[in-house]
Amino acid sequence: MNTVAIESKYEVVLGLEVHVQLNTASKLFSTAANQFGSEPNQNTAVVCHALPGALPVLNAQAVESAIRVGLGLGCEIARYTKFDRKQYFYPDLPKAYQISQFDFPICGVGEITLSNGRKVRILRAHLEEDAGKLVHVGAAGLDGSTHSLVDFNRAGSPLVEIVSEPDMRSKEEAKEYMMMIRNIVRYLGVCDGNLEEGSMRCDANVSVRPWGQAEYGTKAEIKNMNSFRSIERAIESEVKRQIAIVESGGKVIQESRLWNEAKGETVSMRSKEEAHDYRYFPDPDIAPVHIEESWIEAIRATQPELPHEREARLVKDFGLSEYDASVLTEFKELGDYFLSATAFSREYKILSNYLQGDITGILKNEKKAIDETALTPEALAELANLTAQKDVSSAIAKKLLPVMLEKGGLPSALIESLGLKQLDNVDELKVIIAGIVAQNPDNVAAYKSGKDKLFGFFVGQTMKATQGRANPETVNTLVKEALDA
Amino acid sequence: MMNIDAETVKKVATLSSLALSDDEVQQYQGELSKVLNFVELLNNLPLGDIDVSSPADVVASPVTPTISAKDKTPFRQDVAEMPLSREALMSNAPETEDGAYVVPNIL
Repeated sequence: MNTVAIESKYEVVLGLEVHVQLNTASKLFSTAANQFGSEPNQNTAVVCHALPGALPVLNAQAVESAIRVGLGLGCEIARYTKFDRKQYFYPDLPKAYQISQFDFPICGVGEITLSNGRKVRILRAHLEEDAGKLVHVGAAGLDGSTHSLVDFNRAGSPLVEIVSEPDMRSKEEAKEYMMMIRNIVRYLGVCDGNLEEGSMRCDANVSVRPWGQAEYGTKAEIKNMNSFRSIERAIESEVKRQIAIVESGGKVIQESRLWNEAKGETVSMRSKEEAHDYRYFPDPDIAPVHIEESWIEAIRATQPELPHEREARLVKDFGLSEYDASVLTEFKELGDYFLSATAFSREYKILSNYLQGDITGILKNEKKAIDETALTPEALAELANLTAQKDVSSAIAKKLLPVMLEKGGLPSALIESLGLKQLDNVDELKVIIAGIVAQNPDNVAAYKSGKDKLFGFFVGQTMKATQGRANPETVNTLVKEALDA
Repeated sequence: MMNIDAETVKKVATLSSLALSDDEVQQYQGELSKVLNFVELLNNLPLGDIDVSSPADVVASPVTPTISAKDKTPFRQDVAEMPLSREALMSNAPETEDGAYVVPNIL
């Protein structure tokens, strides 16, 4: 049996633990700035260093953001929640325990529905503090290093850990789930959702079982995936590894495994079993939190629009296709631009086309986000209006847009200053077309003998001769007249 | 009476990254048992039907009359401050390098 046939005998079972770093001004329990990219230990205070006697005090905004996340995921919000100590030794953890939540998480069960209709249940979402960062000296990684440097800038940053049930059945579903959570937290404005920079991270619980088997197989926890691509690759590689073990009569061991991006495989972390004995107990430094109903309601009342709500609105209020709506929702800044531009133009389809087509293309080349360009929603709206009035052709738009993004300005003004005014003068165009017809007698003859496709050649030559400024519709009419004459 | 066995003491020592001699294991067996038995006294308190999984009830009970349940969660407003300099915060570090603590080879 080939590999594909063997793998098709197994069902993949996936659960994700997603860490969302909240973008509060200060840390979860410390007044230090919640900010990275600074000099080591520059954003720290006594609590971050676990100096003797330093006491943690809970950041109200972090609690509010966690509630927003919970509401966004359809989770129950706890009226009573508390913090616990999760104990383990590692140099990036100055207290030798992480303040997390054990039995009373701030958010309870919720649910997310994937595009294929699969419902992924969320078990819980809790608040916890991040650890510090280690730099290993003398080697590329931990292996072979002479010593390590400890930086607590990240220590104590607020994280919301969202734990799903093992409800996903493919790497594609896992990726989509992660993307949906990223979009939700970005719409909520509580996290920038940047995987590469670590403001969102995920661990995947992966297991396989023969189709039809009720019990789950033994799972392995995969860590260290820092892009959507690595999530898919890591899951794929781990599934292959587990199937090979089961097929050869072996048993999958429950363990944590690190994804090695360069090698394209997961590697056992070989941590001692007892290292998982975290000895949770309630943190006596932090009073239990009672969340008033009125607070939850106030947060609910000010929830920003969520992705699925915006997508529905784009279809319903602006008549966009479901596909267009989903693209503008997926890329929030494009959707924001679209919505701002609708104040100045009712040409919704054209606006959407420019944003998804020419503008996205330029942004990809320039590696820029749309809000980093000089384009204003008003200018984009004017371009859409001019396009609808047939004063701007797609060829002219292609010349205008790079300038609009780079330097700004309204298209009406740019058309004048760049000499891009559309050539509509029939007499002038007739002369140009007559010249092209005269220069290409062979193509004219071929066209007349039935090679209809050559019509495009003559239109193309005319557009070229006018540097793309000719009105395409007028050119079509005139070329037809000239050839059929 | 609760008695902690030697295995438990050794496990806790390992988790705490402490190396204990056999004499010390025996010593801590006795001391930790004493601590547990002292705390065990709490079980004699007349708590009645209080559901410990509903801590709001616990704090409102006469056992801890000075703690009131609601509106007393001490929050901090989300303002970033760094009252002490990095140098002051790290002044007791045995060794630093480029503003970071130095720790020995981890593996």
